[in-house]
Amino acid sequence: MKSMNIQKLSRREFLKMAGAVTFAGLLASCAPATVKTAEPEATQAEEIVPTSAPSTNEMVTIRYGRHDAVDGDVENVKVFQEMFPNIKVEQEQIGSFAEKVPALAAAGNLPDVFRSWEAMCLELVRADLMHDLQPMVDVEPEFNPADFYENWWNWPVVAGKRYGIPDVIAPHVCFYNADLLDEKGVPYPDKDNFTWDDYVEKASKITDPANHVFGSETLPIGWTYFHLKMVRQNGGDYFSPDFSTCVIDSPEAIEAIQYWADVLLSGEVMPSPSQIVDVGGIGAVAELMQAGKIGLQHDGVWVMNNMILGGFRWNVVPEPSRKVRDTITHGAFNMIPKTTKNTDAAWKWLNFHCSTKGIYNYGLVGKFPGGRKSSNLIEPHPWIADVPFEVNWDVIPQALEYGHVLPGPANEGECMKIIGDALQAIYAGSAKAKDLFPEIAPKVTAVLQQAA
Amino acid sequence: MVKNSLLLKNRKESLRKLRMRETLTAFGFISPWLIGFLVFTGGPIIASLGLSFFSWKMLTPPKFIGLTNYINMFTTDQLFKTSIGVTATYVLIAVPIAQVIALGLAILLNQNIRLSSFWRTVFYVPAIISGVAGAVIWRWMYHNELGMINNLLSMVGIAGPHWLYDKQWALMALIIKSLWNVGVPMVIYLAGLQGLPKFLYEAAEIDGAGEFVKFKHITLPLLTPVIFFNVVMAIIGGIQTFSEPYVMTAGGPQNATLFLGLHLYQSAFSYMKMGYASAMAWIMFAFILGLTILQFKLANKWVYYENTES
Amino acid sequence: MAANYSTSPQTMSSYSFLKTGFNLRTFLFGNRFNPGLIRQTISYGILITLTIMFLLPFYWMINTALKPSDQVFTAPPTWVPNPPMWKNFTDAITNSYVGNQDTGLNMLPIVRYALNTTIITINGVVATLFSSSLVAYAFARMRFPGKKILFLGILSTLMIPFAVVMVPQFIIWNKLGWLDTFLPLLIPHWFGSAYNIFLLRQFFMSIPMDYDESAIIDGATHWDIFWKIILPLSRPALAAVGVFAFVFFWNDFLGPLIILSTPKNFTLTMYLTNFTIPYMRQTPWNLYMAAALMITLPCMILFFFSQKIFMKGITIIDFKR
Repeated sequence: MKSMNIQKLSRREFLKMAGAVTFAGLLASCAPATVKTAEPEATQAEEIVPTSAPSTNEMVTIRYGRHDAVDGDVENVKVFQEMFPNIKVEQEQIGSFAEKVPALAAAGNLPDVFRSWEAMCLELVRADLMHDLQPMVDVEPEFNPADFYENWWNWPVVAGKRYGIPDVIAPHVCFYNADLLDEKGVPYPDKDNFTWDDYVEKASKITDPANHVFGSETLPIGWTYFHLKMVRQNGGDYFSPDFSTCVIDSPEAIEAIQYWADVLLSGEVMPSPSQIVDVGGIGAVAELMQAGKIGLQHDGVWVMNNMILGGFRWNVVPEPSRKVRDTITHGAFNMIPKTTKNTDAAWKWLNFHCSTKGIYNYGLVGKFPGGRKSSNLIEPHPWIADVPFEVNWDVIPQALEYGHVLPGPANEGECMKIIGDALQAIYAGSAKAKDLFPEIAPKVTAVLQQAA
Repeated sequence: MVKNSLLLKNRKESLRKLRMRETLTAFGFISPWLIGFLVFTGGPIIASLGLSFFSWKMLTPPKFIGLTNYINMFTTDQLFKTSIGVTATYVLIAVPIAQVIALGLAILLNQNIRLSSFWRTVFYVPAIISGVAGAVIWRWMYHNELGMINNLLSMVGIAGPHWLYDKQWALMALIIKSLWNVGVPMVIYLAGLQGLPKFLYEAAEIDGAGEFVKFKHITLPLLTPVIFFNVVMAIIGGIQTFSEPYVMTAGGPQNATLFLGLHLYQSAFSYMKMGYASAMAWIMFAFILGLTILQFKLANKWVYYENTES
Repeated sequence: MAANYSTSPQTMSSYSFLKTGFNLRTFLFGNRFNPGLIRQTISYGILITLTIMFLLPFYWMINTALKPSDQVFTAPPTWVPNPPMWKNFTDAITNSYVGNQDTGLNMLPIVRYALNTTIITINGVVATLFSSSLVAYAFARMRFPGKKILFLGILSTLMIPFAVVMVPQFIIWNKLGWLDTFLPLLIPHWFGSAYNIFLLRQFFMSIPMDYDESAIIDGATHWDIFWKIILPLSRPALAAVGVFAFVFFWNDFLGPLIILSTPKNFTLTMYLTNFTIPYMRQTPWNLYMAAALMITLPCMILFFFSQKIFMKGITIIDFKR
């Protein structure tokens, strides 16, 4: 008679259960439909007739989503609020961009104005989630499209439709530690004529592994796009201009990567990746530079902050090149998703943010130059820091003229994984570019052409 | 005679009624989980199963492709095979070692030693440090020149490997790092040890039982439910390991630490192939479920519950 | 097969098999040494060695937190920062990386974030303890059809990686209008957590049925047994669940990151994340570690003081009424 538990179902228990069951039933009935219908509630293909219409008097809230910190655009929001008191701009920080943006898109809840990096911009365009902004630009008085740098202005254009407008741009340039170069008796780079061989030569004169001093900062291996810069400087590219094929198996690309792989592996010019901590992941690898242990580094202009912290005398020249003067310029595009309910107000904000003054204000935060040439004329220039010695500041905005935007291929993640794995092997010395690149190029092309 | 059969019938009736009452009460107790499942978790889980038969970039609606995801997984996806190898190695090594250390520590700290609160906090603190910060610290620790581990090794004359940058050592680095988190199973073992009835030990001591005997015949058997829990959870968690490789190595160098959980995550969000990732998730699920059921069946042989019903 | 110790007092005489007289201790150490001392030495020795190994990374964390900027990346590493920058702790709080965000409240952002985190954490702990113990009790103490399958079902929810569930769940939150609110971080935890259900079920099943049976004879319902017998007897287990839940919610990173978007709702982990936003500036690792340390403090204090609950053994209930 093991467990004949004599239970009296108390009233309390019965009521509890009845309540629970009812509650469950209620909730279940309000439970939303499953995910199968994951289409964003796209507004019908209405043609937008924006901005010339006077603003309504009701209070409207615009969500402006970006991946960086929210205090990045406070000044602009303030001024905008004064200009348009009935439009409230709410800044949203989209942390974990790669996860949250698809989630927002799938839920049909992208912000009213959305600032996205290059590849994601085009992915969203391919998914037909974004408004064509050209009509709005056309109607906007004094927009002055020619004010933008061409390479950026013409990038997010697909089939004659324009989907994004850039704001600030961060180019890659070459920084050098003037004090260290002096110490080693190495002449400064010539800002008008600086080649790869120059760079390597100067760097090898400075390198002194025993004292943990190196001529050049290492190559950020995990950052697959970084190496595109060198490929382009040699006249090659990862992808064809329409992103339909992978052209990494061209002789120029093979030569470029192998050149720098050999430099890295020689150990006489730059520290190996395991010698930098790189805890910050891709991007701002400037630790040893800041510690005064590096002679030259070519990377994004944000490295400047580290240089200043380093406390030594430094200067800036354009990136070294081989066949073509080229560099990467980073930025993002402001877009308006089709799911917005306030296209008019959204455009007003976007237009303001991307105006001369708007871009300038935003640039002040990150100390970056802007996509509008007129923004870069306003003083004090955002990219100029207060240091007690002379620096070739013009190099920075000048880079915007010859620099190129990163590519935005379809299925970018997978493409970058294949290319990245190959680069890892080459930079580790376990394979040669001339063997690997012809192997992976068709694979990447196949991925590029995968139907969505 | 009629009275007897009537009594019997009534007895059966009341038995059934009681059983039904107990069932209803039980479901009352379980109702929180049931409701939560229905409203919050059930839908997404079932959705992910359905999505495994679709191709879904998340930006566009899903497209039905049948079994293509599953077929690709086992034929064309080289990284999948790699990730299985990495994950299996990790689980087979890290889980047993971690459990032994956790149990050993718990026993050690269960004794009446001075400052036991302090010691226990010491071993649990690693588990408290926020995931990303912990991973950053360990990246630093493993650094070839700036890191503590190689610097300490060099003090005794050993040249440490490049750890996270060395194909041969990266996985081992992650395994060692995982041992730093034994605080969690340790705390559970401690709770288990603390809950053991003291009078059993007293009685055993009266009978002259030594330490080892006490351990083998009292502690261990009574701890088996807790050991079972820790092992099952360690395996479930181990197979899904994701955040350490994500922050510390991004799967490198050259996919030496490409865990299944990481490959899945990258498929979902880097390659934007959510359908494929869902298929992988369900294969992972099937495997873990099978393993867990196996453990439950085996548990009947070695796990001892005080309940007379199990 | 392990010896089956029933816990009823009558069977304690089954210990008789131990009266073999063989004593390992005496065998090894004779009657002269105090074996307690040797055992103590070994214990302390192991403890101290392991402690050093375990605390090494933590020491590195403190070390880095106190470093001035130019000593962060030196090679060979600086073991003791000189001078120790205690200022880093205040800098981490007021630093412009994270300090200027308009949180809509007249307070330092970190205070606001700490408040948010506290709300989420306390709710999470209470919710988890309550709902998980309730469900665990049913599986430990009650019989009903489908019990095994249901339990396996509960466990199964742990076997699906979050990545593939995240987007569908996100869509649900969106439909409910719960995005950028605390609701998705508060409400679901009132419905049981599979990990804790499993854990508590194991603990509950280790409690002898004798107490239950006595209570039933006295006319107790399941709720009575649950509330008055099982829960009090499970204090160490509940303390473990409580501490785990606290640490989990306090350090929860992905959940808030996905759900929240305006700073007034952010949590402390997002505070940390903002130190590491790429492309804008290099992360000041000394400040980052200082912030991480400060964030860890409440968990450490909680754990340290919760030891009292761990220490209490079973309180034996007197059934002689």
